[in-house]
Amino acid sequence: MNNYFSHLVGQNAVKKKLSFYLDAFHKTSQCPFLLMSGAKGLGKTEFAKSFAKNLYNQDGDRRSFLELNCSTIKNNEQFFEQIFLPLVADNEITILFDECHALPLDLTMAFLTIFNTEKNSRKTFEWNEMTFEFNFKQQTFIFATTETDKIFPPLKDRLTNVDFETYDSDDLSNILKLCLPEVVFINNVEKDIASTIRGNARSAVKRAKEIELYCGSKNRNVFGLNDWADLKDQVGILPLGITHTEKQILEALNNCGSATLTGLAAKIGMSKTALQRDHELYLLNKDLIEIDGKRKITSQGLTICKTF
Amino acid sequence: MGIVEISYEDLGDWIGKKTKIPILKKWLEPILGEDINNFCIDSSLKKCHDDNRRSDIESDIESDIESDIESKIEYSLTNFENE
Repeated sequence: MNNYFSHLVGQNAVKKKLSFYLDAFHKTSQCPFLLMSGAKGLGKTEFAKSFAKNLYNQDGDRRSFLELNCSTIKNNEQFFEQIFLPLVADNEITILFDECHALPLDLTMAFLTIFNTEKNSRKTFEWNEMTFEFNFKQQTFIFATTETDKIFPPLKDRLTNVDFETYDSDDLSNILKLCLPEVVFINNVEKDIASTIRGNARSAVKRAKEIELYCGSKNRNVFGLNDWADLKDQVGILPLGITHTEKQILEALNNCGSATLTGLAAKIGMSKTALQRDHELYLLNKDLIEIDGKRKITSQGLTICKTF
Repeated sequence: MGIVEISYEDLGDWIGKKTKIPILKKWLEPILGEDINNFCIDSSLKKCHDDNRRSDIESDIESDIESDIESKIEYSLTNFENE
């Protein structure tokens, strides 16, 4: 199997699966309709782009790659008028429907018909007294979302899922080093940095940018523990990469012992939904709080609290 | 027209059994056996008897559809041969 993604860090299962489909495409000119799913910042778009870069037209040229933001698609008419007819029809192209959970209902229904292909590599879709020809040997369709639960299930059934995982500490250290080839990390400081990146490749790239700016401002290319402590202090990076809202949650629980979700939301001044979705999950994941009827801080959470 | 087949039961499971959905008048009229303009499906639609209000609603819907068609889909096109 070819290694098409050696320039990208981590996501080994994704690399193997996509490499399999690329090898198969080079023999058959066919590719399943892929659904890239996973939390934000895990590299779905980057992998989709790299995948597309390895798809070749019949004349041997690389295929163009069209990336659509689905939240800006309002209906079938707008899609076929602005996208399909000028850019897709009769072209060899790869199309990424990013944030595909936001597809409008009528286009979702149209896709149920279009992507309902068992054996054929062509599909004729008739809509509004017009006929649209899809040729899946010429056009490759990729979907990506952070919210698979919001995709219409029959559409999801027609797509082949590619699941992205969170990055481990070694992967994140490697992303940092890849982004900063000029910087020399000493005393394993990159491990400590990786612990604050929340398993997210995009955050690793952003952290690398901060380090680049720090090194640039100091006019040097060696980055050690003292530099990291200095940078953390200057830009407000907290242990395990927790946010300042999460710090408030830990402090509130530390002060009051335990709290209901409503009580905690009132203390922090946030909606219960935002508190649960954006903050509690991470604190639970890192064993900093526990929920047993009420929210309570754990011993690990107390240790973190003491460092504030 | 793009047509998909789905049972009322399945559709109800997805969008809710009380959700109002647009259907063609010419399809509904033969089923009801009367002019749809004189028919109220439920009390919340009684307002529709007011022709002026109906006209306002229709023009709002048409203008929404027109603005949806005119709004631009955001996209980026990459040609790898030029990279």
